Amino acid sequence: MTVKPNKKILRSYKWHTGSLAWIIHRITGILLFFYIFLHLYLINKLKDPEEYRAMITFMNDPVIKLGEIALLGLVLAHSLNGIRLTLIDTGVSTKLHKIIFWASACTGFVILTIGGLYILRGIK
Amino acid sequence: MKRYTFRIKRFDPEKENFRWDEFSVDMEPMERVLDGLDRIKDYADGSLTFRRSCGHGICGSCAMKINGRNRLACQSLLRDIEGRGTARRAPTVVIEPLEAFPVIKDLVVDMEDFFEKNDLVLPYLINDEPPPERERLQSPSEQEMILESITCIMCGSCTSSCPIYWTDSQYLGPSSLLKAYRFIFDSRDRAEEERLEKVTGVHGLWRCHSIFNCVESCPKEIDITGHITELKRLALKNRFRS
Amino acid sequence: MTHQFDTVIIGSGLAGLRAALEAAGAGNVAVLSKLYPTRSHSTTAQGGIGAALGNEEPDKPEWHFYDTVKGSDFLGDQDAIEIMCGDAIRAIIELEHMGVPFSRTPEGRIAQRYFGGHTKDFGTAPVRRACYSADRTGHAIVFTLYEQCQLKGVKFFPELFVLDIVIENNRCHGVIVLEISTGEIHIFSSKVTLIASGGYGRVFKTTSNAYVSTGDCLSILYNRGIPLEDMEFFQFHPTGLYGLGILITEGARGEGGILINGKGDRFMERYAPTIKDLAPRDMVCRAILTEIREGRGIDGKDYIYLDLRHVPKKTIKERLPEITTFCKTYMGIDPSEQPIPVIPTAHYAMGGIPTDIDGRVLMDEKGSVMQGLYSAGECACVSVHGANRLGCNSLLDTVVFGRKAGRAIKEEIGRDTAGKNKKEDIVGARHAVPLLERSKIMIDSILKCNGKERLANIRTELQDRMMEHCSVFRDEKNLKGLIESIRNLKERTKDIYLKDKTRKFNTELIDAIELNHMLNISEVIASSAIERKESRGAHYREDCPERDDTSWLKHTLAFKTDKEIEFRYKPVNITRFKPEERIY
Repeated sequence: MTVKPNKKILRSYKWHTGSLAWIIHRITGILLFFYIFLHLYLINKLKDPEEYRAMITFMNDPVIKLGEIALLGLVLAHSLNGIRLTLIDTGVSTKLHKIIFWASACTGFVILTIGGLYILRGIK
Repeated sequence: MKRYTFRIKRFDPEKENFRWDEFSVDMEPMERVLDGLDRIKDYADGSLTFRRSCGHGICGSCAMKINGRNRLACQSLLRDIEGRGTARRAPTVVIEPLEAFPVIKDLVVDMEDFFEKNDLVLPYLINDEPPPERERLQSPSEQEMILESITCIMCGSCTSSCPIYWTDSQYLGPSSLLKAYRFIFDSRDRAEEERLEKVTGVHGLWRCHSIFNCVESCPKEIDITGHITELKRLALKNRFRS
Repeated sequence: MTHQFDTVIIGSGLAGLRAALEAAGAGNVAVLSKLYPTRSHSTTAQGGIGAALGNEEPDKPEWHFYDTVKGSDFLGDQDAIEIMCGDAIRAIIELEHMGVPFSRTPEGRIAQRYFGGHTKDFGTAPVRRACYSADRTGHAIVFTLYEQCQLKGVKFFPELFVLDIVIENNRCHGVIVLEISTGEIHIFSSKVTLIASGGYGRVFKTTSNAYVSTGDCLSILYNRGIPLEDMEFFQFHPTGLYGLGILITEGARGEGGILINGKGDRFMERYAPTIKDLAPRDMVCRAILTEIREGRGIDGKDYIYLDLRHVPKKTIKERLPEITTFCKTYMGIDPSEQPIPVIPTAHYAMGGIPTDIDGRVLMDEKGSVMQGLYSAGECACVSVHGANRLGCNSLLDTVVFGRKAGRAIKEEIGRDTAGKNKKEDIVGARHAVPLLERSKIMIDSILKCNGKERLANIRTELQDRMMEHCSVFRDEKNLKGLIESIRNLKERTKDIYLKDKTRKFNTELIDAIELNHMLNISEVIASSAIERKESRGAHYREDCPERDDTSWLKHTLAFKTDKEIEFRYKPVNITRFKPEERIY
């Protein structure tokens, strides 16, 4: 008589600010989780001075710099939304959640631009 | 009069398959989506099946997904529907059954699970103290606490719009949590502990990630997430105290 | 499939739920509903529930008693009215203890407001008597009673459609229902059956009633030989949203709203000098339509304004939030800025299944009781509302007489559990079998319909005709024409066409059955209206505009016979207040 729920639900249901924030938080969270392992792996390789020098040169590669900007973006998105959720949970009115979202987005964008320029300036 | 296209997702319980049907209907922009469905049922396809009763947003029968979001068909006017038309194409109203509930036929879904979830949170006033001769006193400010939560009509829009409920069908859902709130924060109720215990399980309160889809879809404009957050804070406070 | 219950209650509105709560004390109780229980039409009740609590100003049950009698145009049975008004305070306090979130006074007591026809000191000035929960009182009470029923273990069966009521040898043995979602037919065999199926406002074009209010159970009982009482009295509510009929509560006038015509006059001052806009509904409806007929509608059109602009915004926001939303959603206006266009809308059936004060269904004018059958709520006629109901008395009626019926049922079941019941259960089920077959044949024949007529055309025509000729103003010539057309429409239903031939959730099939019931009920309403050659309460005959107490101070009972409808009469029970001229 009955059927299973719709599998295409994410595509067919309208995205609102809240659900957008939620999905961004999930995706950035998962990406950061994997990044931590990459980070630990690379740090672990730095025991040898040779490796260290090679790494520094490698890090100056423009592609890697762009990657760093992306990383900054991930961290900003995840942490700012984390702050937003904490604010909501600790009693800042839930009615402000959209305003906080857009305020965080703007703040994030400004920091990302400044940070991005700073990172790009580092290329030699 | 203006021409609208109704694109409706149908489910045939005998053949067990979905299909999309399109109907052109001439309507006034001030008419309700429900009027459109009525007209289709009355004059185009009598087999179109949907629930309806009061027709003005109190009974909660006609919740469905209209242009990608849950609403009551009787409370959505055509002029407010976002389906923009062009000079060539009539504005389109896309109608689907509520998500995440099993479909019985066309726009009718099985609400059994939804109502059973509601029963889990002890949805009744519990107070074993002998009642006074007259009414129990409750100040307007105490009533203010539950004023929003008592307007819930249990249409299912919120639970069906919740991404957590999409993935965890055992999740209590916004509607049941709101019901728990309605009694926990009623100054006349004495069963805060028991009820909190019911809602703080694995599939309860903490599954809520403040996504706000419930708030967006609630036809009574209840700040459901706000109420759930309030419950979360209370649960946390009680945990720290004990 | 056969189900066995001590008590079966049809309808999950306030009367059904209140009775279920009481009957749950003895034996098992099943509540059957066409919808989910929380969706019943009682939820749409807005303004309040009346009781002389005296929380806001001095009030007495005695005054309430007088107002209700006068409101009923002296057709209400005074023994029943006295019980209702006397029990009102207890009933409200009980509801509050169950958890109904009533609005409060600053001291924390239940708040009360003005309502139409409720006065102090036998009609000298309006009194605040309506207890309310903003403007969603019905919703608040339905939810509370539903919750309490769950606590008591009442079993709910949602989305069942009653096909037949099993009556054999002056005893009711249960009901036959269609499970809407599967299309299967079930027998609910019971010792006691309570009908609380609500009203039938859908027979009119402009109505505040839900799609489901089609009077199915009344029509079934009428077909089974039970008379219908006072069917000519159908209340129109003065303020329905123009074009839609959606109810705007009388509480809006209770909070200070006034009615104004096209000239900007507060015309109710002319019709009811003492209580003005708070006059009973029948009078206000006639006043509005008279204004419109005499060309004083807004811009000469067929509506007038309900003006709330002078009411403080805070009051509107706190006490009338729901109707504010209706105005904004459906008309695009803000009631605190603009007046609301309104017209009378079909609202409440005063008539129905005749019962005694304990809800037992009566079979004739002598008061013979049908065994095992009870009725309460809008579908029943006790009669406390007589020829015209006062606002906020309907919720009171449901909880007072729902409870009384529940108590009587409890007593009956209690007596019965002594021994013999088992045998009788089997008898009950056996009686149901031939009816089950008949219901099956009926459904099969409807599903086979392949005629030319559209259901909707017949329904719309019925509603239009009823509205035109049988609403606020009536006369013999038009009523006769109306009956002619109803019989015509009945013929036409034999030639309908159904597209949906399946069994599962076939709402077209249900529409078809409901249409038959609506035609049946409409015929009784119109015929009863022809018979009563006077004007009383909601029944206004332009060809006999005076009230006639010598010949017509009596209740109408309409019986189904093979040919014409047979009318018999029973006297009104007058205990305390002698009929007098009805001036407000």
